[in-house]
Amino acid sequence: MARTQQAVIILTAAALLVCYAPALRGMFAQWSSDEDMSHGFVVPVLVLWIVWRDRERWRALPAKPSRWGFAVLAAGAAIQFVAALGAGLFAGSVAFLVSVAGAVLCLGGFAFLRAWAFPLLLTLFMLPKLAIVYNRATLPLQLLASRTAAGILTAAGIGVIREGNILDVAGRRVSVLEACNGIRYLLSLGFMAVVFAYLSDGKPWMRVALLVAAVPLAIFANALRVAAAGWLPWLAVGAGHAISGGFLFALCLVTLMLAQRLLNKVYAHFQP
Amino acid sequence: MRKLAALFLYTTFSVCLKAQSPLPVPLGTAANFGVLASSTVTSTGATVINGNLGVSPGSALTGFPPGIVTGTINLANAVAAQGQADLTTAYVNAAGRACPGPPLPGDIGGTTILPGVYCNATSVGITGTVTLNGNGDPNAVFIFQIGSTLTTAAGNSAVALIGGAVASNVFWQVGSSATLGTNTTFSGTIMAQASVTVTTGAALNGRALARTGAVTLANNTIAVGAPPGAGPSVTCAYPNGEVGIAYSSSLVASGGTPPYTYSISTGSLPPGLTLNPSTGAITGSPTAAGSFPYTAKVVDAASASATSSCGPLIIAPESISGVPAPPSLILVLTALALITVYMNREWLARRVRRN
Repeated sequence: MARTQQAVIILTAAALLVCYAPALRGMFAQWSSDEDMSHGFVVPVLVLWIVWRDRERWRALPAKPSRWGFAVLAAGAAIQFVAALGAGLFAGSVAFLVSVAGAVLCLGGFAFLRAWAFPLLLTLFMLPKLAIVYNRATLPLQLLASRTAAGILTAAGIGVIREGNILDVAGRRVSVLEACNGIRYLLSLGFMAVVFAYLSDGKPWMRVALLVAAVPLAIFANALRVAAAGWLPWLAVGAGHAISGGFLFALCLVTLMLAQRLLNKVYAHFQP
Repeated sequence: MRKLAALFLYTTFSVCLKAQSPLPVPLGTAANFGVLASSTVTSTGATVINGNLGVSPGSALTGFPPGIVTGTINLANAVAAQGQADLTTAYVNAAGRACPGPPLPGDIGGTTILPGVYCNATSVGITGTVTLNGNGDPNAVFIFQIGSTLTTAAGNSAVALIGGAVASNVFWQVGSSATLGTNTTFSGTIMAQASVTVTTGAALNGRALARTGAVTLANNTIAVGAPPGAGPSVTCAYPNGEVGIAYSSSLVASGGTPPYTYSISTGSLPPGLTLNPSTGAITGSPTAAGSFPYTAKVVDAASASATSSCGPLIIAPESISGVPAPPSLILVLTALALITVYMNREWLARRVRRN
């Protein structure tokens, strides 16, 4: 790569970092303060690692800068302008990612954008929570966790009465709070499902399949966690709580690994 | 030892400078605001603001509800803009007052201060209680000019008013930002150049006014102080509680003649909670769930009284504490470790077999 090209790439990256510093600072602050989003620290590291891992593939591509990149950059700037007017951190973060895609188009063209499509899409997992969606999803997810947990306990032969998000488990009343809604499991497991599919399987559809499978799995696992904590109080506090939460998450991942094997077997069966 | 000597000298000089009570800082329409910020007001928990809330030129407001504003909310409108303009005037007025005495020590906790103008070019902290003594003058004015930050220590730091001092005549001009530590009981109008942060459980008998930044609140009671000569009034915070979980809130009296005596005139507090008649603190651990409306009453030293309807104070049934999943960073790192093992399982198996 010519020195001029390297200089242009470095300058573009620096310009993006400077222009979107407020949004990046905001994302960093949310990762630091919101336990639902603390996985955000891992996302850029993994994305950079994936870009480095695939370097042979994209280095072989000829750079064909596209003028469409400027249009995408302009779109990113427009979103950033709206964010600065008050649309908030989410819009600013989206603007940053759109601008990165625009810069890739400007410097490398569509072939590079395709080659980097997966790591760029993976950055969606580091976006801040969109408040309007989060607020609308919280109560339904909370109630779903309560209903499912009550169902699990009933199926296990444990007496439970549910009133909204309150579970009465053998005389012990348990409230399924907002923080128990399962969004943390959903985001983390969705992210890990996609990363696992990328590392273990070359088929792009597998990433989508495991991401879709992660949704019900995360919801069920969260409800199972609530049910377990409702039935066994020692699982609701301290080390018991932390270990059971991590253990159940690991079980979810193992289930996804098994699902991947199963899907591959079915796929192989139908291949000519 | 050096600190003690400084406090002694400072108290002595303060007494010598006693009689010169300055004129109050003219707040204009900013006086109507319990909270006024430039960029954003954020609250968590059951904050109660007895007065108006304003943001200008920004418009961001978070946490109301569940927070309660008894006055009006003004976001980026003419009322808030005028409030900010008047705050600037008041800030400049307070900052321009001459300081006749020695500089304030870095920590004024444990001191008694008489009416006057007091300055510190850098930062002031309050650890414990600082007592403002009006010395029998109901119009006594206290103005504090602080070059950088004002911070109260977490725990039970307080600004106590005695001798007729009233919160509406106490002004804190802060060069950058003010932070009230947890459970602080503070009196006076804070006029901060940048931001004001009132942390969990702190009660402010006065105003939190920020010229260029944000006001951040967490489960607080903010009551705009009554003007001098007015009778007492009482404001109640009633954050929701939970059976078996330690609960803390407070009744805050202003105006009238301190000290105050607090009581519940009608209704009752939830079982397990008690009211401290001297401080207004409501503490304890609720033993029963339910909804508990009550009326708080305050009687001042001149036997004048006031009541305020509070609640209902909602006590939720016992819940699972700590049911939220571990932080997503821990979950993801756990998963990455598992994926690494899975991806290298054959190599690991070979190593195990070789050993």
